[in-house]
Amino acid sequence: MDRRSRKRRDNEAQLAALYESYYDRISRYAFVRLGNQADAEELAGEVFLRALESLDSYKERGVPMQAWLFKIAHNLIVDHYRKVKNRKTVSVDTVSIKAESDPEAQAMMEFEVTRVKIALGRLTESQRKVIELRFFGGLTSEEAGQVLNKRPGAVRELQSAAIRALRNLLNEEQSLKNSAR
Amino acid sequence: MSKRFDEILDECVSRINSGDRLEHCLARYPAHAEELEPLLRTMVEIQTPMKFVPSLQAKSIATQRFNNAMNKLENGREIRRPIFHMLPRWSPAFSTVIAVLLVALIGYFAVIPALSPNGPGEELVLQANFRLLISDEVNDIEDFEHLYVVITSIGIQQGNGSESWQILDPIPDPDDDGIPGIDLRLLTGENALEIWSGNVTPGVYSNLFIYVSDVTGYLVGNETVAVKLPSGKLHISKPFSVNDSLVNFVFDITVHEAGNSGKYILQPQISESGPDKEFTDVSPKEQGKPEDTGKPEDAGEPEDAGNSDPGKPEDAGEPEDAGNSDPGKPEDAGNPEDAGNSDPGKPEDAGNPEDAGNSDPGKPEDAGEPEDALVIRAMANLKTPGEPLCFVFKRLV
Repeated sequence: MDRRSRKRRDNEAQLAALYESYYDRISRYAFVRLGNQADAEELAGEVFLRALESLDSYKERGVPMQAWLFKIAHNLIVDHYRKVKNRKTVSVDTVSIKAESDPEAQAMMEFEVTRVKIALGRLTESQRKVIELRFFGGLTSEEAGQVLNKRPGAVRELQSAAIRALRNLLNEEQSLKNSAR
Repeated sequence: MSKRFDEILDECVSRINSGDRLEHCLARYPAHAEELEPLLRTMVEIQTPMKFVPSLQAKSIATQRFNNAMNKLENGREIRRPIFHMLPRWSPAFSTVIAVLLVALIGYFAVIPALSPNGPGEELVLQANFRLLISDEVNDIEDFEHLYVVITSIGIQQGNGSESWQILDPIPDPDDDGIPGIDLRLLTGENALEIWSGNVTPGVYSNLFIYVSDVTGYLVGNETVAVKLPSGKLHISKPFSVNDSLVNFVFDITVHEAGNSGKYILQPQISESGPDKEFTDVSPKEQGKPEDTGKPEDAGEPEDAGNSDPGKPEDAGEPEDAGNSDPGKPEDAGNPEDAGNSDPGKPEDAGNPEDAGNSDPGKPEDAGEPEDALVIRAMANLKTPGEPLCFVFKRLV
């Protein structure tokens, strides 16, 4: 087996080893961006298929494979929105719904999700990206930096500022709610 | 704010991500606890509603697709490997024995088809035991000039829902019209189009999914509309059995307008779906053949099929999908405004469907004739008329 084939096989083995834990992380990361669990799960599966197809273009130097997977996920999300934007969407009706056992709990959960998404939407783009990768993708600051082409120190600073901003936003919202009562 | 504090906060975030408790982090840095606590509580508050566990079903389907892709790659490599490339490493005696055995085997298998009733020129084709066809029950399809549905994969599940899934890859362009997707407008009434055919493990199946990546409708009057399916799939839960004889399973998809809203809903029509439905096959490969009316011969319907899922009305109005789509989930997710911002670190278009979708890594590149076929052809050239290939082999030895 030549060196290139051996390298390819090693990369395939590494990708397969990452599948189990990173499928879940990528699903969560995509969920924050897409807002739909089924879409997020499908996208996570697609990330690994794309990675397998493009494995020859993956070069270990610089970006570890887990960070590369998140880059693919990011690009797929961008493609998803580009596709949606270029089309006139008539309906977003679902074929069917898997009902939660407790509708009240589900409504509550949806409210919380919306609340978090509104708060995230008010961060700067860089701050939001850092939070998505760190909080939902579970990447380290170094890995997040490799996805975003930033130094780990810069990621940490953005993270710190983002958390403070989120805290203020959530506090603000809470005090508005209290004064309305 | 010192840089040191950013590092402490970062470490605590990593620890909480790994399952550590917030209190442990505070205890680790008592001097910063007061400043850390509200920030870490904010982190937990943000994370909690988003911390879903992907459904086992979705994960098992994705895993199977990934494993299939890996196997395809592996098989492709095996096909590419030349049969005789290892021979020089063996001892000459061993190589001779192997070569003689190989030629004898080839000779034997060349003679058997010659003596078979099919004759030597006919290929033995493995009989398919399952065909999946798509049809369209007339509801509001009349509003459309065309309604294209792009099917990306098919999932079938054995047993009562606990067994593993089999993922089937649909025929790339089943209607052979060069346009992505199947036009449901052409499949009204009993018309049905084959999207998969082949062998599946015999047994009783309980669930069938069709994964749809895109639905685009052209209304009468040429207005283009895109109908999105958030769950991306159509699901039928209806038991059917597959054995050695062919089962034609018709999957009926219907389109409804929701009130007079101008919104259309695509859903499976369970009452018109199943292995026992009459259909007229409009698949391109069937066009040259005498008309297949697909008369069911009770094939595939298990004894208790009629009693399946007694509490569930088999009505078009009922949602059929057991997917994990979320009703009323806000659609403002992910800040589409930054959709145009491509990442500077984009790895050579890895995530770009236009590029990545066309490669077929599992496809063998040397489409040349296999060695054993060459040997048979060479032997066939040497034989006299009427002489079996094994005699040619004897002569040669």
